[in-house]
Amino acid sequence: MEADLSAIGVGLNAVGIGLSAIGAGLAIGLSALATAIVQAKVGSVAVAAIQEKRELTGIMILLIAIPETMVILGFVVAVLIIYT
Amino acid sequence: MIVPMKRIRIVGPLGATGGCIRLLRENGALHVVNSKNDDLLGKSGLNVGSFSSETSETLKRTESLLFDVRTAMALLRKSDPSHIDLLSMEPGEQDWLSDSFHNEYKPIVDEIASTAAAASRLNAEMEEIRGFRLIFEEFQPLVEVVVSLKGVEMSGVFFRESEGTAARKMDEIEKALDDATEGACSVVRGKPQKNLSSCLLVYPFSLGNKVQNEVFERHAKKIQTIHVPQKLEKETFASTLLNMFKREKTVESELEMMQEKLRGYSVRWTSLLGTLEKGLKRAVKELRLQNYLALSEKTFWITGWIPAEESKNLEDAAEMEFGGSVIVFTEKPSPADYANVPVLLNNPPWASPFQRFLAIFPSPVYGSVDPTVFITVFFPLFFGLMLGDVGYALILGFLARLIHVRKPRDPLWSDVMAVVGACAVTTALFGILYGEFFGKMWQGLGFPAAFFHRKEEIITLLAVMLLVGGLHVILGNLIAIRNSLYGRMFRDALARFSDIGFIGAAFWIAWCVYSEKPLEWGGTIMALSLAVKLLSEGPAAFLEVIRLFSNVLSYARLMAIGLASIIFADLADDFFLSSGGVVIGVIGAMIIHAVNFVIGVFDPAIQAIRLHYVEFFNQFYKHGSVEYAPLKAEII
Repeated sequence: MEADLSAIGVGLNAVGIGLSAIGAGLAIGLSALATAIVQAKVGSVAVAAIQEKRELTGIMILLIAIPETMVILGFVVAVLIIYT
Repeated sequence: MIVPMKRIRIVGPLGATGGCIRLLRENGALHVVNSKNDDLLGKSGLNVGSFSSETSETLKRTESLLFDVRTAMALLRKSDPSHIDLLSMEPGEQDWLSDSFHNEYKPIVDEIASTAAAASRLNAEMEEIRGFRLIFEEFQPLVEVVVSLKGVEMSGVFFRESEGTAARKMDEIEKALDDATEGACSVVRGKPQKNLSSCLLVYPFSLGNKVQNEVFERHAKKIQTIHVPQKLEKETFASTLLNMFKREKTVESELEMMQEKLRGYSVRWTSLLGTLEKGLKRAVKELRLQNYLALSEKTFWITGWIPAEESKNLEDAAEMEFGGSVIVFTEKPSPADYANVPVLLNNPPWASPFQRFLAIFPSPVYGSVDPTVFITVFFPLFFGLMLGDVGYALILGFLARLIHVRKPRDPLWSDVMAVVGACAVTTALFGILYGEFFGKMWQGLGFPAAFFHRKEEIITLLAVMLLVGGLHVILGNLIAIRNSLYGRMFRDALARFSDIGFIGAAFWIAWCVYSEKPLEWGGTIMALSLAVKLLSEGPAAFLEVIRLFSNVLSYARLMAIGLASIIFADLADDFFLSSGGVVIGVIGAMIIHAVNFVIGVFDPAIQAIRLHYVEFFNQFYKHGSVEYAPLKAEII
């Protein structure tokens, strides 16, 4: 009986770990996807802008970096799920 | 630091105008502004910025010639990109505004422009002809036959579809034409190309209307008609096509001739055009400057701004030159003037390299705070917090030294060296605190982390970074309070004060929750801050609170990027430890460390400056000022 309960406990723990891993993966995966979509659009516009006016290079690099907030916060959530 | 400025008003006899402008150029410190914006002038009765119609005409003509010269230079550069002219001379003394000058050089730029325009037209015609040739080349023998027959016409039709769909549509049209013309029309199908199928409809002239109705109107949605360019239309479609093909050779040789001509112009005139551009630019600037002066029959008036420490020099120089007949008045700007005062930034040598980070931003408004010193402190701090590895710091230090050796006198590279050097120091410092030397080699050598190990204390790391972020945002708000009080905007200062209360209360509450202590004053301070914010900003306060917290949370990137860096570095170390052969392990570890280093330099740099530009500057930075551009003598 105790062995059965212990096995169930181990099983539930494993399920919990698995679900945590899925959650962490979703957290970083979906946020990375969103960042990629936005940065693709910003990047293509930035290339056109830089071609017209070279002095916009610096600010364009910065504008491309701004959407990274999403994936960074997704990474933070994923790390917190995995390591805590 | 924003250099303190003074408003200057220079008044003197009309005859001394030229001498005064020459003096100002030699002094090189006065930023001249349009005198019509000087409200004191309204009472003086002087005519402000009034050009005579002759001078206006001269300015317009000179600006037009300058524009034409620049256009000609661009056209020549386009036609001969490999030709780089290094011999453009300094302008020297010339009467750039005279009729004779204008009449001498205008024909040259006009010639270049007209040749380029002719080449462009021929190019467009060539493209057009080639387009038709692509569709109709295989029909050429038929076209030649149709041309020789009287009373026969043809029309071109094409389909941008797959071969199967195009064939089906051609069948429908052929059937429709057969029925309409009782078999008098022939459809000659071309060889299908990729998604492009064409055919020729050949029919007697008399049935032209029927063909028009049946094909081009009733089946208009299914087909695309080929129209020859109207300018090339000779007689029939067929004869026009043939003429176009014949013209192709002529167009090709004419185009080659025009391009050869342009290349010749490029070799002959690029140097001259460069010199003309410089001289005309200077002449236009001089002429425009006259429009900034206020003049009467006997007096001139110049308004401008000058760094406060330079004003005495100008006054003394004017006194010495004109013996008191030209008077220089100075006054400090009032807050109402701040938006119009030109801004000059001047920072101590240890901070001036970081001034380049403001280059992509408009300068701060006069009377506000120059954030350069804060960037000098916090940029390397954030960089070190993220990269934090003694090994990588050594590489950065080596790079800084290399730059110093290779480019000792270049101002840009000197600034880069200073920034890289500062980042190397903070990276080393945090590397010791985190206990990292190329990842976990520090621990491998037996040294403990002085503070905590990043990978093992993730919550602590996150808390520290958010605390740093909160302090950074609080600093931004303190600067905003200073600016608001300076500008006598007390409501704004109160709102900023409540922001500080919010952040402080949030950290206090978080600390109490973490250490399981009662909240005590935390909740009260937060409620009070909200009340003050609502009073000062109204309902928008709720949105501002969300913005404030998201600004602080954004500093979690310091933790995220740092953690990614250490995970990657540890991966390199694990590769070395787990590899069978020492050589493979070392090479593999070096490659991974190299990639991590490159990412670890660029990403922290971009994110650190982004935190300044967005989260920090959002609190207080006001831009939109005028750049300081003093009147200076051109160096010849």
